[in-house]
Amino acid sequence: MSRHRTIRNKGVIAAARLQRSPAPGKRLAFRVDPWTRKLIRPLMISLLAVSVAVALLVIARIISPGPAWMALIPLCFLTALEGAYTSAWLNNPDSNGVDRLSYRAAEVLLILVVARVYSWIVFVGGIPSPDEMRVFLVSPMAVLSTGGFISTAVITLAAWWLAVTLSRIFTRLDVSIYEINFYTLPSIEQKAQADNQPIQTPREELQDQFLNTWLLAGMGMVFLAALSTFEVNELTNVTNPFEITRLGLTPAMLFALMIYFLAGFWLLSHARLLRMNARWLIDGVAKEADLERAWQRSTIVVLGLVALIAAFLPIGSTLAISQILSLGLAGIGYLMNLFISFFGHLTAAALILLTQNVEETDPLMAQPTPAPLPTPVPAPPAAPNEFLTMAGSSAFWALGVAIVIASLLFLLRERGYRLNRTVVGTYWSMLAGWARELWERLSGRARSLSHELQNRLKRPTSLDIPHPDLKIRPPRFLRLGELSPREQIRFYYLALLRRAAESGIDRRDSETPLEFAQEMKDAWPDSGTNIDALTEAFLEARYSPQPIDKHEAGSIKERWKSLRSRLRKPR
Amino acid sequence: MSSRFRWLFLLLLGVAFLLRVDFIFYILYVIAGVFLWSWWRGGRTLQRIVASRTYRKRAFLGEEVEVKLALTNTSRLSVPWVEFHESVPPELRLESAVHQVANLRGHQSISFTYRVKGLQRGYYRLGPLRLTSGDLFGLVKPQAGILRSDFLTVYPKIVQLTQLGLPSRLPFGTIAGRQRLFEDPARPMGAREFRSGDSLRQMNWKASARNQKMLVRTFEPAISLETAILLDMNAAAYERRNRYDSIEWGIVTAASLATHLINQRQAVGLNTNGIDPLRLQEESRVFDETTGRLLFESTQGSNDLSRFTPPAIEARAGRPHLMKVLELLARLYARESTPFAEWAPAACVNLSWGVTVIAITAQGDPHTCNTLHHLVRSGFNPILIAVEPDANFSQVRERARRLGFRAFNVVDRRDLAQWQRPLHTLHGGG
Repeated sequence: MSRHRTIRNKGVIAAARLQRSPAPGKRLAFRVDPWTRKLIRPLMISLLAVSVAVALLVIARIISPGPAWMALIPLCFLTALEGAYTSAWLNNPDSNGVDRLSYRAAEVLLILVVARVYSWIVFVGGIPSPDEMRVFLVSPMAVLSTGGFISTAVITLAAWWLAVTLSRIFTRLDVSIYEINFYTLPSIEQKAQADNQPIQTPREELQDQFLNTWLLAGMGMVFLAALSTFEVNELTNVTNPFEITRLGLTPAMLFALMIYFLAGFWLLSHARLLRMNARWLIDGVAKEADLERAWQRSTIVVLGLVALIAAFLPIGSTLAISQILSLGLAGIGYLMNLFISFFGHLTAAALILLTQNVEETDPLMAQPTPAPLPTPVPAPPAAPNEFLTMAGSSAFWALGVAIVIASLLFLLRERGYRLNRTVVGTYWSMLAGWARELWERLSGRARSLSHELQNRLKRPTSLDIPHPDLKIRPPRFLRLGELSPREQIRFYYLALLRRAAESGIDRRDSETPLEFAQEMKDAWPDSGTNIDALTEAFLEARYSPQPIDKHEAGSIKERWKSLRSRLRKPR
Repeated sequence: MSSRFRWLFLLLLGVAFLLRVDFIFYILYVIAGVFLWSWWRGGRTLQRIVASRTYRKRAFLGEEVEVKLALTNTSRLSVPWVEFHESVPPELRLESAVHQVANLRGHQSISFTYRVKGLQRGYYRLGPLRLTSGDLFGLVKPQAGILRSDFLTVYPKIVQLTQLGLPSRLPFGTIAGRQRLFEDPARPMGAREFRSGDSLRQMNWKASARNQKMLVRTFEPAISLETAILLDMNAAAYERRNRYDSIEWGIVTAASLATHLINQRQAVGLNTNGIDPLRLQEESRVFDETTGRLLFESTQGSNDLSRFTPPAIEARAGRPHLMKVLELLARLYARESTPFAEWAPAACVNLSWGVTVIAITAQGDPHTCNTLHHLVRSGFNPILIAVEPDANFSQVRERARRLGFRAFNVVDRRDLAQWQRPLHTLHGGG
């Protein structure tokens, strides 16, 4: 009897291997904190950028103490915030189709417009008066060539540029949605979709880029802080720079320095987190969003503690070590001075030795001085052509306004705010209807006023009193095309009555239209059909609620024309 | 990056002195403070983290084992991030690898659980757990720590046996026997009238007084099965074609017999000429990367294999002893070691008289039968269990009968079925 071979451990293990393979849909639990990205990071970047702007504003205030420079801080902050958010938005995969250069150009243009308006409000005291506007219309450069606007624009754009640069670095440092989608897949699926593996971002370079930007701007801040301690206005009058009056750091500068360095440290820690995030994601390390929040908390606590402790440490150049180092630096400076003067003396001595024989040689023949050329008399400046100036300025403003509107529409369109033509059409028709109604009211009112005035003027002459029986006035300025078909028919009938009265067939008050029609037929028997048709149409138009179409009004018009020509002829 | 900080520090220091801006000292203090904090804290984070691994160290084949990893921050200060990666062989684990990053508040403990399942007997490695932590600013290099590996023994497969029916020569034991030659005083069965020659010790005085006649106690007959299992793991003895399966089956048979006998409160010992890889030096041990199983890859020559042969496990009863036997069986590897005919007599030198010797080997060839016959003559009770299929095993059985021992051909699970039937069926069948 043959034995059946049974499945032993080998087979069981092979079957278990299949079972052990991870479920196809099971992804790596890797979560990021959206609040850090959507709120805290843009805020920190904006604070850092604004602190640089504040340092510039402090210097500007020292140079020109009059204007309220610090009032520009909100504008700088909002601009920086806008730049930070826009950079994050442009890094979004949905924004891949947006032309970066055009978008940024439009953004800068709008910032300049806002800066112009803001500088008007801050420095001049409000929106320009009509007289100033007239000047701006004629000479457009007068709008842009003011110091307040240029300073506002430069400082605002500096804050905006820094915020955009840092935000772009951080959005690139962050793990992208493509990386999350790929690296959270099970390893088997990652191998299957190897072609979709995202390209590695050089995060170390980006972190270095941030560090360089931060350190360079930090050095600039330190320099500005140092500069702010001097009376800068005296620089032009003082020959010895060390005689310039020294001031203390202003609270604004202190605050800006603190914010700059603390926000920078926070961002440095955040950059570190983002790099670690990317490494963890690629290595398949599971992570909860809570870790990022704890990281931010720890950073804030550490920075806060260090900043607090540092506040209690002795500060100042009065420290012994500071004095020793200052003495050392002074000594080095003294030695360098000695060295330079020594070499200066040596050089001078060498030059004297070299030029000793030159004095003994014959002096050079004096060259005759050439007669001065007659200077051309400058032509008197031509009187500016007013038409050309006006045309140029108009073209400038038209182009400028068109570009600004186009930029605004471009920004809105790229951000997903599309112009709904139907809605716009509805609003336009509403507006047009409202305007038409208003116009009609006003024109009616004006007409009645003019009539009343005319009546008052004509009242003394009794001859001008209209015939009491003829209640129909020739319509003036009446457009028949604008009347409804019903009104047109009534108009033709009443015109018939007027024409008949002029021909001697007057309608009595007691006569009905049908009776009067008979009377007219007796007078003009060859036009009986037309008279009947017109009378019937009038009765229908006057008393029937049924709608009357245009064609019927047209046929009545034709009959009225033939009647009119008949009534002109003698009976 | 720290070099840049040093430069910034020096540059700011220079600017501070040259321009005499006192506030720059504050910035310098902040920079120095952050650097010092990162340097001091980064180097001490892992020292204050205690990691532990909790699990059952032994598992039956196919049984799931839950491993719990716990990390405790013994410091009051929080740890912003700690990355930990537990190395678990992919064929052993049931879930994705434990590779996470977490934060620990002061005195906080966190734990993570994963499950493993051993589908092959063996000695498996769990871990090590690698820990990495660092500072918040990237100013110092991350520090790494490690929690040493732990090990999991997966027992060989055990087939539940009800009735072995193995013969015994020892007079006392716990398994009821059908021969009334030996009675077990621990198993009182009833009473009968006193006969001449009955011992007075067996008198049931209370029953005699009540019935007014002499009665003696009767006991159930019993046999003792103090057993020594000789497991032949000499690879050369097995046919090359089915070597792996036959050896594994021999181990399953040995484990099943040992478990059954110890469940019957019998003493069981184990002697084998196989290789125990745990006898390698710790640094020489090699674990398979895929399965995590301890391998035997000795760099020594085959002549030195005797060094890795485990010592005999003496016959004892009890669950702890069974675990010891099963652990050894879980680790064993077959190599071309000493042949059974040479090794078995030496292995039985220290056994007591009358011990049942269950020899599990490949086949019942004449050399093996002769060896077992010598054991019979030495006073043992050998039983041959051949695990390789043999069409002419009746001849072996007949030869064994003539040489004074019994032989069984147990090739697969169905051959164990005769010992798996319920007890009453066996009794009923006679």
